[in-house]
Amino acid sequence: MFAVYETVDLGIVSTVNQIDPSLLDILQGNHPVFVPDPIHGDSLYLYHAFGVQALNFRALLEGLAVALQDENDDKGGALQAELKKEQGVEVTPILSTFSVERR
Amino acid sequence: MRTSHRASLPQYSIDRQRRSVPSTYIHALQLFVEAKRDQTLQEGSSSAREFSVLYEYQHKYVTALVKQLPSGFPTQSQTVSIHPPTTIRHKPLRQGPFLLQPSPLTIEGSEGGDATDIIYAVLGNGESEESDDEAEKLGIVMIAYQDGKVDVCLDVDKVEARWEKKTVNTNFNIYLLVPALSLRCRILRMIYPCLLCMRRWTWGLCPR
Repeated sequence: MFAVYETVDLGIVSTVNQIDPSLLDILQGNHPVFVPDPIHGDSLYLYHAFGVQALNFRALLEGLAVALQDENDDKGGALQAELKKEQGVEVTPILSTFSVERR
Repeated sequence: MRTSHRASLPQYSIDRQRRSVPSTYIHALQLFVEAKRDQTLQEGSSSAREFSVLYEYQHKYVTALVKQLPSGFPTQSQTVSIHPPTTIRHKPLRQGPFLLQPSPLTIEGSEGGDATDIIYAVLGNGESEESDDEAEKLGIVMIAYQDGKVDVCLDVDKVEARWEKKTVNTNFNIYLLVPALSLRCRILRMIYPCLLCMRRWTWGLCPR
């Protein structure tokens, strides 16, 4: 099993909905693809039809790793406190190719 | 013309069990299994004893694979043809499909869409030498969907090679119900603080 930690919304649906909800069918042609950063092991890029987002998961994994270490050292509640911070994956938009042509 | 075309067809092996793999795969697997086995032997806790049975099986399996490799120290990787070991009586256990729990959220106004890509990520080693404990190896699995949704999952219950045998436990529910069985168990119980209503992400607050 996979423990679902969070769900990220890249905002594609809301952006398209603002213009015209009937356009949502174009998402059928969208095909997001992950590309790992060749230098930084904590970063990924997500390419899709409307641009590119950078995803960084260092803070998320380091926070959990420190909390787990503290739990091991019998500092109770460290993991609970860490989970309450709701530290998620950092999402940075680096390219938007979204454009609308109006007549 | 027709006969010459037919004659040029490759001869397929009748032995469907044989597979060609790079020899480095098997050497890497051997090192990995031996490292896991050595670590559980040092620990000696109850969960380590449970895993040590499993690692003995894995070790037996990989040893049988290594015996099929051509002798001599490998100077470079080569493709070798191997067959599944016959030294283990039990069949390998098929695992999966895996549940996503709790159910991922859906994006408002979207009907969902197909998943288009999946990636496994773990923080690179070598940056923090002193903390190469179990927590450091926590991996995440990310799944991207057509509508711009990304599910971020923690790989808390690592997949291990298992065989069909009653004493080797394969039911993940045990991890949830037996308290403090392992570190992974502890993460699971923190993520699902209320075992009765696992559907929701509650951060310790039971909605009931």
